[in-house]
Amino acid sequence: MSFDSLHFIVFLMVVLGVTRALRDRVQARNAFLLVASYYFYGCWDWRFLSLILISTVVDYVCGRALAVRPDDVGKEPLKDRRRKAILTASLVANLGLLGVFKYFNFFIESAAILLAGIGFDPHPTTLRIVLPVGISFYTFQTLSYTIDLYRGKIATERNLLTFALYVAFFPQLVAGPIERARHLLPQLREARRVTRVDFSYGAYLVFWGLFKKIVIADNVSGFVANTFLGEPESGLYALLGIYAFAIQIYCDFSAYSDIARGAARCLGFDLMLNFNLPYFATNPSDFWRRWHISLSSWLRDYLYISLGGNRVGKFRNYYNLMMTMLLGGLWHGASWIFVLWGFYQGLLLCGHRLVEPAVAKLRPVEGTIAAGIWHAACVVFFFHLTCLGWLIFRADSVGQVAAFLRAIFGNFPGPAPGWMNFTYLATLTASGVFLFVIQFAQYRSRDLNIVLRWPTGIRAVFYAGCFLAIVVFGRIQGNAFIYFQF
Amino acid sequence: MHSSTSSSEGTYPGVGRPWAVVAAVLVVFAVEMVVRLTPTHLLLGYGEGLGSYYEVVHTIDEYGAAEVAILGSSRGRESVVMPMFDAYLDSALGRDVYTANYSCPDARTSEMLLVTRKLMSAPVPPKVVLYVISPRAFHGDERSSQREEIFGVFPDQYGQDAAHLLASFSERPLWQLRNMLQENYMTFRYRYRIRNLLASLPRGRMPTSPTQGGYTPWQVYVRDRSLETHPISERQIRDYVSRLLDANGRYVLGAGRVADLEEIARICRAAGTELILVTAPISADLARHFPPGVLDEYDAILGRVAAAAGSRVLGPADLGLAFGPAEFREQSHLNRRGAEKLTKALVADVVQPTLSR
Repeated sequence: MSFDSLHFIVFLMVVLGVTRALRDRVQARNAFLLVASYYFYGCWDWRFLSLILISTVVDYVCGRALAVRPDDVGKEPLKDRRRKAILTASLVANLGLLGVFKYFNFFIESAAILLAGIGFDPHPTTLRIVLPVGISFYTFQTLSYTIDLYRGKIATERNLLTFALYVAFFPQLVAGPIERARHLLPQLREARRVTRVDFSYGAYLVFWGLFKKIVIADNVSGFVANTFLGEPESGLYALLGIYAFAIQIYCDFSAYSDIARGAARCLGFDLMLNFNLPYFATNPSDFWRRWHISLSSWLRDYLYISLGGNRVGKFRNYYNLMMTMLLGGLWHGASWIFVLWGFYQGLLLCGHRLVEPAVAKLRPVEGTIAAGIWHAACVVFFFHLTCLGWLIFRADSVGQVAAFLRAIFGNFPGPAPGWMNFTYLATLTASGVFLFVIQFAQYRSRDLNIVLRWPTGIRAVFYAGCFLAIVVFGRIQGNAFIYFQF
Repeated sequence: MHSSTSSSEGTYPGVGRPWAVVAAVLVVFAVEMVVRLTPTHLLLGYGEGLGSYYEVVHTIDEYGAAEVAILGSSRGRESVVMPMFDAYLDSALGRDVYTANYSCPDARTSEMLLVTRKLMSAPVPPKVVLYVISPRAFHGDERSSQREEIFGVFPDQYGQDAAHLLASFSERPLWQLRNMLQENYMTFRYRYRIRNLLASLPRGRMPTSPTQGGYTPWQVYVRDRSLETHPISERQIRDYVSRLLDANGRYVLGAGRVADLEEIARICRAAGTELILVTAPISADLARHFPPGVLDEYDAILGRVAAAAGSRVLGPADLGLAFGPAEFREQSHLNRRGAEKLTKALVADVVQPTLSR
């Protein structure tokens, strides 16, 4: 069941109605939400519910065994062999599920290629394994629970129903945000009042997310698919294709997060912010504080810091950054192209750390016109570095990356747009300009919800315009959300 | 920048008060009124993809069945130049003949069976159905519930796919809801025309549709493109064909699709409609890349179905035509020049004699 389907809208309305009726009975509400969440997930493939159940039971048992009482939260925990063994069991179980269902064929095929390269003919056995939707998200979420318990940052959840709902809560089950136990579990333990403000705000997020997905992302996807079909017609088309993908992936993924947060908000729950105007980032560190925040903060807290973070020597710090981004790349998919993308992101972060002291000396004084120009130039420059990353992310192969770069730097002007490309370009331009205007207003006002501050008349036109755009241009049940494949 | 879930949300003047939403509903309602007051013939527009199936349904609902109806996939759409077909036929017969091309992109016989049923349910069924067909019409055996449900057909999906049982359980009421929206919310029903209108703003002209007797956009905007001006490599054609092969490297001409064509033939015969199967020209390069035996099997199927139903099968050779690289837009679709050549022959040698009988 995808968020951009009638099925989901009807499902959400039913869930809202029943949850409201059960609002003062926490256990009954949680039981209902758990059944609804399993139904939501089961609509893709009910067989994979077993994996969620395995992950839930393993981490619940590990959590009970780690046994952190509320009074002990924040105190330096014991890190004895028993607790380490429990944590290891959780890591092995969750990463084992990921390894089998997401990476098995990748590792076998890569090993086979390597062995073939040195003269062996290994006849590898690959399995036809279907990637269970959302597995990367819920395994990371449950892992964060056991790691936080091990570190003594949260207390053990004793109620299996509440914990199972934490793992499977439907708004963020399939593509995040990857919630933290310390943020979501306390909300699930208590009765939640949905105020008119909560409901209006949640409905606004769902509406805006739907608009971004089915009007912008799905319409721009045609041009992206056309451009990445083979070698680009010219450098201009290649560049526009990359811009289009930048718009598509942002609108697609941030739309999912908005709908997830909006649906949760309508139910009375608060999910973490996942996107904060990422294309206004001025450097790679800034970008990762704005893009897929729940994953980047997960990688920071549980991987980068575990490796030593920046409390180590300079070179070890670069190594930590690179390892974190390589694994972050691999998290996105079992393919060397994602590893390459992670390597590129690691290079950007290391490079930025290296040159930042020198660049800081060139930066004009804050508040001057020169500082404004400098800032805008940094945004534009870094947006293009991000786009280079998106080229790697979207390309089928390294050869296609090379073909795009050859076209951009060697054959820029191309033929006049044909009929199909003309339509696509008009869509891309309209989408890009509209998105930029809204985001610029959000950025300037430092308020992601600036729309809600607009005068009533302007908001009315905005809502009506977006609704009519969904009706007229929306590709209902068009493309699956991109991040479902991860 | 603070988070959008900060506690300051309560300070937003717009949150929690309904006035902007109420005003927006009024704007949406006003647009609906304008659409409802506009004559319907101005609202039917060129649909792409799934939209073309809706366009066919709405056009038949609005105008009834054409006297000469053309069926097919995108090959059928691009193989006939409808304004020319219509003008030649009117001129040859000395009267106004209602013609329409109901071909839809990627349509197989299964979808054309639905169009045929829709046409036959009109007060006056077509006199002639020209089915411009290609091997693609028989490709595979899977059903597209998305397309079938546009025609009000709800296949019994329960239990067919155990893994997706829950999804299939809830499909039917949702498609009924969607069809209900199509019936009652005119802004949604005629959204393709609104799209066309907006798309025409920078270009200055509206795309026409073969369903309403107009050109296809390809016939207007890229009319001169050919395999000579835009050659297609062997590798591209090989890749194209390989995407159509199953896991065992076979190009499957589905038994279900053949049965659907037999049903089309049976329905036409029962209604007294003459069904003529016209094999769509494909480029020599594409024909060469089909797995051995597929085109022979395809020809045999057409011959068998036509013989059983008393219909005719006509290929380019039967019409005395041959098509070269200058007449294909790419490997599988005719360009405007090729389509004009086929159109003339179809009118002169096939449709006009049939209607004159």
